Amino acid sequence: MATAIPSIACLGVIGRNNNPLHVAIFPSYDPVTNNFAPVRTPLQFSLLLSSTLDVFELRARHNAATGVGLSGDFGLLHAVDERLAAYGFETNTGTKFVVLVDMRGRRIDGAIAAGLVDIKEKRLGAVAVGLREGEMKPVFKAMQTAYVKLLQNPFFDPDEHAPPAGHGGKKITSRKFADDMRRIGETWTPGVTNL
Amino acid sequence: MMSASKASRLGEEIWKTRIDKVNSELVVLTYGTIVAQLCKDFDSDYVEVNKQLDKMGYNIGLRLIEDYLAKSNTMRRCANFRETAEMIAKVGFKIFLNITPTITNWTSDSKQFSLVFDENPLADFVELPDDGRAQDELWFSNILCGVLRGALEMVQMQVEAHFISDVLRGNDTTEMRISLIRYIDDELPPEDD
Amino acid sequence: MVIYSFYIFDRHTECIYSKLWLPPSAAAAAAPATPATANIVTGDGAGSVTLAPRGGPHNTDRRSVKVKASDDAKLIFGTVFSLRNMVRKLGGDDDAFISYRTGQYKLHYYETASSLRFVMLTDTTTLSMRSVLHQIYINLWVEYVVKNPLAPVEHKGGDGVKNELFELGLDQFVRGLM
Repeated sequence: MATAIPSIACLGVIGRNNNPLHVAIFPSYDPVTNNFAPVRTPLQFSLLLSSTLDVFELRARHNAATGVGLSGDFGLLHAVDERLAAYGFETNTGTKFVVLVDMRGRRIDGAIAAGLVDIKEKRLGAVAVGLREGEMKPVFKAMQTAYVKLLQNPFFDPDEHAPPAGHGGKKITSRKFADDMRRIGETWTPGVTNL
Repeated sequence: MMSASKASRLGEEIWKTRIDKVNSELVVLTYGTIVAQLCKDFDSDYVEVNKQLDKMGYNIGLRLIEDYLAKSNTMRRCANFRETAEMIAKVGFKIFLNITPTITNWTSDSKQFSLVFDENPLADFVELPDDGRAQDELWFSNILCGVLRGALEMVQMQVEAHFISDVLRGNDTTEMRISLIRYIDDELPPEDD
Repeated sequence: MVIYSFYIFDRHTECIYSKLWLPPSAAAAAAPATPATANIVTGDGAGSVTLAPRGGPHNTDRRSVKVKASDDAKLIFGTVFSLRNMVRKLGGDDDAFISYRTGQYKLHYYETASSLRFVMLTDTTTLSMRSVLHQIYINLWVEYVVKNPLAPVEHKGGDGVKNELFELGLDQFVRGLM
């Protein structure tokens, strides 16, 4: 018997001008074809990411008013449907990280699943009703670390990617950063604490 | 002659007791900015950027040697070029960058050797510009060549130093080649008329 | 302990700093062989040229005093340079010339690997000043001259040596010894 567990379907990095900096898409397991394929097209993912921007703004305003949420972790932004859910994080400099999670993106063998249940039963038990609070923390932390590393590259010009007084900006072209995003998206599973 | 292990101990000792430490990010960002700015100023003429870095390093080396001599308290010259290499790698690089490059690939006449850098604090996080030329032309850490050239000139050794590989370019190692050209004679006072 | 004077020579054999401590007339009297010099590094302010005429018609004006001072420096350099070379020839490359003594004074010598030469003239009873010269090098020269980014690397004509910190530090250090 096989069990479906959540996986990351898409990682988005959005600049302070609400411009896309980087989008990484990851395939999900498709039980019909027994293959791995993204659950949405790149355009659809891009639209999903855009749709989170309003939530970011609302939350930011609300947080500022109530004085909470100083960590920048916005938690669940919105549940798109019964499979996809968007989680968000915003740095103090206005760069946003979005994780789109596919609740049934991976399939694991029943036996392994049983083993997992033994180790952290509650966690897998919670899968059905969504992810636990804070499950995304290591993902955001890893993304931010990768972003900081990117900024440490002297040849990376932050202004080029989000002009201070303007709109738009170039996308991130760093291979290292793309590799980091890929690694984060591929290795994360529920319960991972370090990426 | 000072043995390799003795040089290691000396470097370690000075590093621990006599060196003021500075935040490494500050150094890395400062150096990175200098290189990036040079690339901009010279319109990505990387050959010229290499030259400028070497020149800057040379001027640093002329001064740095005095600090090295003061800190290492050496009252004695190196007996030969091999000992010089040991002191460069195990004392010089240790006290100023807290790294110890490996000395290797000596020529049989003991006049040329390589320093292989397992780590290079100057190049942490660096990705060379993706313009198809930087990877072949820019030596990001070229300032180090100049530093060695300047410092050794002050202690009467004329050397030539250049990088022959760099992990930033996708090579397996970062390697600098140093060749002794000649020992510089003492200058004589001018003849009185 | 009495310290008469102090000189620094660079690797181009030029005297880039000199200083005199004893009242010039006293120095001249105490050690006729001692080059009783004015501070040749400045040579611009009247205050630094304090050498009293030592008699004789030839050195009464300031210009000749300066010439005399630089002659003295050249003489000293010639002496220590020859002695150092001789010592190395006789004792091997690792041997170092440290000092010599005359009936009137003692000359102390210290040379760095970067070919800077420090020379100090004291009275005859003074013990070795080699470590003192070494201290001057690491604590004053390196700290206040080399590490001053605005000072030139080459100190032609004493350029960049005569800064307040170095002079003050040197004077205090030497007076502390006396």
